[in-house]
Amino acid sequence: MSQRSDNIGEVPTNNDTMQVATRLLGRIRSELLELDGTFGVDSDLFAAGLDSMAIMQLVLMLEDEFNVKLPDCSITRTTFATARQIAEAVATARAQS
Amino acid sequence: MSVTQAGRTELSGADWFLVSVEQMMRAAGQGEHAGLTVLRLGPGFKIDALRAAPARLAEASPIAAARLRKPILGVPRWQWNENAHANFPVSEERGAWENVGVDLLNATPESPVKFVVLPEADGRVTVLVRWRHGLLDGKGVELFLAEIARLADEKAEPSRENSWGPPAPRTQGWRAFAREAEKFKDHFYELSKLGIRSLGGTKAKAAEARFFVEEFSIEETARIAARAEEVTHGVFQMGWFLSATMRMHLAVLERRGETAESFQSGCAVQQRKRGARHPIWQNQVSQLFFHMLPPELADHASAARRLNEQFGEQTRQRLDAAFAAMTRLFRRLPSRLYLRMLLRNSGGHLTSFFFSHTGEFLPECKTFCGAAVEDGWHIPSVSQPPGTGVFFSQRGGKLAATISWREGSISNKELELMRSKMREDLLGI
Repeated sequence: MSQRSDNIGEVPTNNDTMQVATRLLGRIRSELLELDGTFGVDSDLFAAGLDSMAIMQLVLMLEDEFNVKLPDCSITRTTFATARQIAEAVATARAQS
Repeated sequence: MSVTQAGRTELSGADWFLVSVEQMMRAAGQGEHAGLTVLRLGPGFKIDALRAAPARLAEASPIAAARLRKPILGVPRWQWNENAHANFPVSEERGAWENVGVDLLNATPESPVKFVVLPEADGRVTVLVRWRHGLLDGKGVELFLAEIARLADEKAEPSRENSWGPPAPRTQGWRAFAREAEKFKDHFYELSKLGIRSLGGTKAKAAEARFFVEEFSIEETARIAARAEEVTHGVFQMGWFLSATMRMHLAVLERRGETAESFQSGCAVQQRKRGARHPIWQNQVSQLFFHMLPPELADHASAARRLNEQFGEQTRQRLDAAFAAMTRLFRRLPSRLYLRMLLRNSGGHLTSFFFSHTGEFLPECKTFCGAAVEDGWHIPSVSQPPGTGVFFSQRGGKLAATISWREGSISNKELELMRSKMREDLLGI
């Protein structure tokens, strides 16, 4: 069954953030969610089955792979809605650290 | 794994735990470890579509007709004759779904899955699905129902690939595997030192399965989510609901004039990839284990935060993978020895209670055999010990909480106390 790609909305993003989003999506695809080829950085992760355990694993993945600890206030449904939005939260956390 | 090749499959670690507990239940007169799934459907249900689909899925699911084979100190297996197919019967009955459901849970039908259709006067239908927990977990039942719904479309063919098989271990080499299991052993023994209490006590005895489903309205569910937001951030629900469950049990003990050394409960961690349609069969879960001392449960929100911290700590240590490695090793234990070890380390209680929050119920299906899926939830039966379980899920913005127990583990007044304590914590009333 293919996953419907629900694009939540594209926003202008710089190259670094796009790279992070793409890398993240690759990890999500290989380890956490069953995604088809149309699923992109703006597709709805919750609609694809993202749950609390997967979010916790993503939080730890960000610490291991990108050396970023997201502040508690960033761990919300909005942040984890798409790979791009997670990547933007990573960029913000890096800028503030 | 295609149907033409497979004649057997290993049990998963979770399968062997459940089958071992089921053997305790059968010996004590509690019957099979079953689950009941309730589907509330709108008008338009086509029973003929439901009658046709299960037989086709049964042909593609020889594991449903499997027998258990356990060599001494060997890995247990489901084995089947490829010509033998299970039967997933569909019957129509009248009556209140709760009464029919209790009878179904306490019966031991010959088939691992059974459908009972209960038509209602307004054209709506309730479908009860009774399933054997040794062969299916809650997510597996949802995937099973999604496959039935798909097959009800006559053009669809049953999927024959990857429908069963234990989860592949994350670590492949034996030494790395043993090191991974060791992490859980240390955690397990720390928990064992605390001592626990259950409401049913330690005696395994004949007792019927009972349940009550608390249905919250859309407005109440939104209110619960708003109250929980500061703790859950809208994403980490488990601690909020597990805290409420522990406090429900503590309230009953306090009314009895007792207390608990601690409360401990496992929470299932799904090992399937989210969004995958398979595997349907076998228990594809690991566990994380949470514990609280009674003084830590004085405030619901604080306890919920502490439980979410435990969630983070245990995920960081990959204790779910460690537990999965441990239970894979334990498959070689004879079930009596396995159970004796679990009971000894838990003071005879097995656990304080069973618990889950499975999130959105049956997200794969908007319709089922021609009718809209308006609501639904799972009702697992529980063993005695420990005697009780509380299970949450949500559909269409409405939360459902199932309280399951064994007759005699709680009284009617204690059930009412649990319900009121739960509503007080979740709704703030």
